[in-house]
Amino acid sequence: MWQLVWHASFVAGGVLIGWYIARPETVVQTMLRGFGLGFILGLLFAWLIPWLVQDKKTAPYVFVSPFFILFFTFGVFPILFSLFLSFQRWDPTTGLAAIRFAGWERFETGWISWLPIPGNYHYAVTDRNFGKAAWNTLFIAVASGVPQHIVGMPLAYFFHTSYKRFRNLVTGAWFLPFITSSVAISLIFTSLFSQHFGVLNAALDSLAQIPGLGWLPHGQDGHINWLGRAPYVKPAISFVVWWRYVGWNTVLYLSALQAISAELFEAAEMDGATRWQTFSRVVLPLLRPMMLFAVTLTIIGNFQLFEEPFIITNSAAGGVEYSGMTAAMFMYRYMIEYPDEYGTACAISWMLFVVIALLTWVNQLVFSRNRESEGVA
Amino acid sequence: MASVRLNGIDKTFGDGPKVLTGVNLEIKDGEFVVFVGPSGCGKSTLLRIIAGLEEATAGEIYIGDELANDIPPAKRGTAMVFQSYALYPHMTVAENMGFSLKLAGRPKAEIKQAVQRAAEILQITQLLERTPRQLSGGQRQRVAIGRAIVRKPKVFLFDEPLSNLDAALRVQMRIELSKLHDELGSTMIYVTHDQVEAMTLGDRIVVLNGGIVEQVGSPLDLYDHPANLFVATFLGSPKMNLLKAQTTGRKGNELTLRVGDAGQVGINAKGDAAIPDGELTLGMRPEHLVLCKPEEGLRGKVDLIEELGDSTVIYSELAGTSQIIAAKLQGHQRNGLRAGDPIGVKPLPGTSNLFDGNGKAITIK
Amino acid sequence: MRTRKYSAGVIAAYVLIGIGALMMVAPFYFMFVFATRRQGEILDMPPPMMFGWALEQNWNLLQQRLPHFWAHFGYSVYVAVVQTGLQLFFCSLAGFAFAMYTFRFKKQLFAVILSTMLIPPFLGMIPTFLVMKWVGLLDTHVALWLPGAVGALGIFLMRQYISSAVPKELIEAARADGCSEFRIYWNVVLPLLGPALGTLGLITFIGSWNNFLGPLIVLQTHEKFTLPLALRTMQDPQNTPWGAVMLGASAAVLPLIILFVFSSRRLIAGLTAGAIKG
Repeated sequence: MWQLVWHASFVAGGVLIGWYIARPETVVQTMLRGFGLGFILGLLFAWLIPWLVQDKKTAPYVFVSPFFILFFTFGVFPILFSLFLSFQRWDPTTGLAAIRFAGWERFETGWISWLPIPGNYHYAVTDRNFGKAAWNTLFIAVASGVPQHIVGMPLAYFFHTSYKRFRNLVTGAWFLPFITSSVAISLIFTSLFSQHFGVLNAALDSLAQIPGLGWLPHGQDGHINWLGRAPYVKPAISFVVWWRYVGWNTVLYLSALQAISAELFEAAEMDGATRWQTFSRVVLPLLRPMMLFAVTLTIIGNFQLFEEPFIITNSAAGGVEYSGMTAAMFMYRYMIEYPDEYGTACAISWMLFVVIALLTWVNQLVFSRNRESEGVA
Repeated sequence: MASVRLNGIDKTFGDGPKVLTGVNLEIKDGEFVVFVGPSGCGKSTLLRIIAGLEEATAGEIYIGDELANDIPPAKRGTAMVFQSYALYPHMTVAENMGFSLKLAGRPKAEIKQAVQRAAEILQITQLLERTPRQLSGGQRQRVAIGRAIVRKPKVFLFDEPLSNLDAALRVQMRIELSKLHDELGSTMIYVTHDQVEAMTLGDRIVVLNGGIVEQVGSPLDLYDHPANLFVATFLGSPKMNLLKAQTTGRKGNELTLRVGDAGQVGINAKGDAAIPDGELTLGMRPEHLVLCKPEEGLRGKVDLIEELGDSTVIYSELAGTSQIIAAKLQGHQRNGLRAGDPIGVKPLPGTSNLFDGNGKAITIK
Repeated sequence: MRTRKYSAGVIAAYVLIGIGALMMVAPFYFMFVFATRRQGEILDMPPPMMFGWALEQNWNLLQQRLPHFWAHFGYSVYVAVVQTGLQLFFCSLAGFAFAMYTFRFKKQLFAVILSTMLIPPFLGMIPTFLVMKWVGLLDTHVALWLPGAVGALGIFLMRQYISSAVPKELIEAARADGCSEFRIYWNVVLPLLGPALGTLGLITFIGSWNNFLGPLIVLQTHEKFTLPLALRTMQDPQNTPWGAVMLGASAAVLPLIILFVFSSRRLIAGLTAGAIKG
C-alpha cells in the first residue's frame, strides 16, 4: 500500500509543480494547485520521516520539527525583524536597500524632555490621535472584558448546578456567537445599530410603549444614532465584543466547574451553605486557575481588537471623531495609509505588545497568590 | 443524639428502575447500625435519603421525633462522611472542620474550641494547619470525620468511608471507629459492602438486596439465624454450603435429611418446627463441618486443600454431583489428606440451617 | 443531586438566562430574515420580523456586487480544508512526540510552544506581509494556510488527549513487533484519535473559515478574496445593499452553524476536557 502512495505522490507532485509553473487562471486550478501543494507537503514529510527516523531517539525531534520550522519562518524571524524595523524608516515598496535608521528625537516639554526616544516611537506617541486610540482601546477592553467574566462565571455556575434539562441547548445558544465570523457579526450589528431602521431602536420604540418606560429614547427624533455620534460608538462596539465572547468564557468556566467533584458540593450542602456561600467560598477559590487562564486570554484578545471596530465603524479611522479607533487600527493606518512610516507601524505594534505583556504579568500575580499554600501530598 | 425511623421508603430515579421498595427501619438512639449489601442494592441511596441529599419518592423519615422529609440537610442534625472525604482542597484542615460553624456565623472562639476538641479526639491536632493535599489517605479520612464531629450532629452518616484505604489501614480505622462510637455514644449509620466491617462494627446490621431489606438484627443473630438464602450466603467466608436435601425421617428433635447420593445427615430441629414437604435447602457453614468416616456423613472426594495458617479449608466434590462443598478446620489439620482422597463430613449438632423452596429459612432452632 | 424547590430567585435566573440566550441568537435570526427582504422593507421602521420573498432578488444583487461570489466561497472552503488537514496531521504528530517520548529539551520545547499562544496575532501582521512578499507568496492562498499549518493549541490538545487515551504499552508492543516510529504513529496511534481529531478539526476549521485579518493582509486581488474579506467590500457608507449583504453574511455563517448544531456537544466537551488539564 505504501508503495502505491509513494509512487502516486511523485506523479501528483510532478503534475502540480508543472501546473504551478504554468500560472493557473481559474479558481479550480488555483485550488487544485493549493490542494496539491498541501498534499505534497504532508506526503513529503510522511516519506521523509520513516527515512530520517531510524530510532526512537531522534524520532520525536523530527515529529516536532514542522511546528518549529514554520514558527521560525513565519513567527520568530518576522517578529524580530519588525522589532528591528521599529527603529528604522522604510517604505517597503522601495526595496530593502532603502532602510534607514530613524534617529532619535526628544519630547518638547516636560520632565521627560531630556530623554532621547527612538524616532518612530516618538512620532507615534506624539500623533494627536495616539491618546485617543489608547483611551479607546482601554475603554472597550474593560467595558467588554469585565462583563464577559462577571456574566460568564455565574452563568457557568448556574448551568452546572441547576440547568439540567435544556443545558446543552442553552449553552450552545450562548456559545454560538463565538464560532461565527466577526465580519458577518459586525455587519449584522451595523444594521441593528442603525439609527433609523435598526432593530435596537425599534425595540426601544416598543419598550417605550410600556407604561413607566416612556423615558426611553424612542420615536423619530428620539432614535439614537449609535454609530454616528461619538459617545455611543464605544458602548456599541463594547456590546458587540461582549456578545461575541461571553459564551466562550462560560464554556471555559463550565469546564473548570465540571472538574470539581460533585461530592464537594454535597459536603457544602451538608455543612449548611446557601447557594451563594457555596459559590463564593467553595467554588470560587477552586476556579482560580481557570480565571487566570480566561482573563489572560481576554486581556490578550481585547487589547488588540481590530476586526469588530474596523467593520462596525467601516474605516481604519474608527468612525466619527476617531471614537472607535483601537490601538490595532491605529497601527493599521500607519501600515496602509502612510507608505513611509512602516517603521512607525512596527513601533506601535511593539508598544502595544509591551502593554499586553505587562498586563498579563500583573494578572498572573493577582491570580497566583495561592502558590505557597499548595503543598505536596 | 436521636433515633431514626423510616416508614415505607420508596425511591425511583426519574424514569428508571425502583431503587428502594418499602423500607421500614427503626434505629435506636445511640445505636451503630450498618447498611450492608452488594453493589447497587440501594444502601448508599438510603443513606443519602436520610441525609437529605436525595428525596424519597414515598415514605417518611423521622429524625428524633421530627418529620424530616422537608427539612434541608444542614438542618436535620445529620453529618456525613463521604467515601472520597470531600475535603475542600483550598482550605486548611482547621478551616475544613470549622466550615459549617463559620457558615452559621458562630464566633471565632467557639469555632476554634470545637475544632480543637474534635482534633484531639481524632489525634490530628498537629495537622490543623495543613491542606488536604499534604495529607495521607488515613489522615484525610480523620479530617472528614472531624468535620462531622464538629457539627455535633444527632446522627452520623458514613458512606463507605474505609473503601479507599489499604487493607492494613482499614483494620486500624475500624478499631478507631468502634472506639469513637463508644466515646461519643452518638447514633451512627454506616454503609459498606464489606461484610467483615458490618460484622465487627455494627450493633445491628441491615442487609439490603435490590432495594429491599432482607433482614435486620445483631451480627451474630444474622450469622446464626439468617432469614433467607441471601443473608445466609452474604455473611461468612467461605460462604455457607447450600445443598439440596429431602426429609427422610423425623424423631423428636432430630431430623434426618438425605442429600442426593452423598448420604444422610441428622440435624437438630425443634419438635414443633413446621417442616414443609418437597425439596429443601440444607445450609451448613464450612466452619461448622467436621471430618468423619464417609459412611457416617456425606461422602465426597477431596478436590483442593487451602492452608491459611490459622485454618485449613478442604474443598471436596460431593458424591453423585459436581457440587463442591467447603469444610474449614482449625489449625493445620490436614489429617494427611490429599486431592483425590475419599472424605466424609458432617455438621456439628445445632449449627445447621434449613431453607424452603423459596429460599426462606425454616425455624428449627 | 437533589432537586431544590424552585425559589423565586431561581425562576428569575432561568428567565434571564433564557432571554440572554435569545439575545445571543437574535442577530442571526435577523440576518436570515433580512436576507429575504427588499431594501425598502429592511429600511422600514419597525424592521421586518418575519421572512419575506426577496431572496432571489437579493441573490441577484449579491452576484452583481460580488461577481466572484462562488470563487470567494470556494477559496474559503479550500483554505479551511487544507489548513485543517495539515493541522490535524502535524499537531497529532507533535502531540504524539510530546506524549509518548522522552527526549532532551522536551520540557523547554513544549514551554516554547505554549508561550507562542500568548503572542498577539497583530504583532505578526506586518512581518507576515513582508515575509510573504519576499517568499513570493503574497496574494496567494498558500500564504493563508501555510503559517497556520501547525498551531500551539492543536499540539496542546493532542498531547493531552494522547497521553490520556493511548496506553504506553501499545506503543511498546508495536515497537517490539518491528514498526518504525512513524508507522507506530500512523497505524497504531492515529486510529485511536478520532474524538480529539474531531474537536481539533472543528476548531481549526472554524478559525480558518472566520479568519479576516490574515486575508486582509495577504490577499490583494479582489477575485482571490475569501468570503469574510469579500463581504466587507460590500460595505458602502452611502448605500449598502443590506439584503444582499445579509445574504452573503448568511452564506458565511450558515456552514458553521450547521457544523455546530451537529457537533456542539462534542465540541464543548472536547474543549472542556482539554481545558481541565490546562
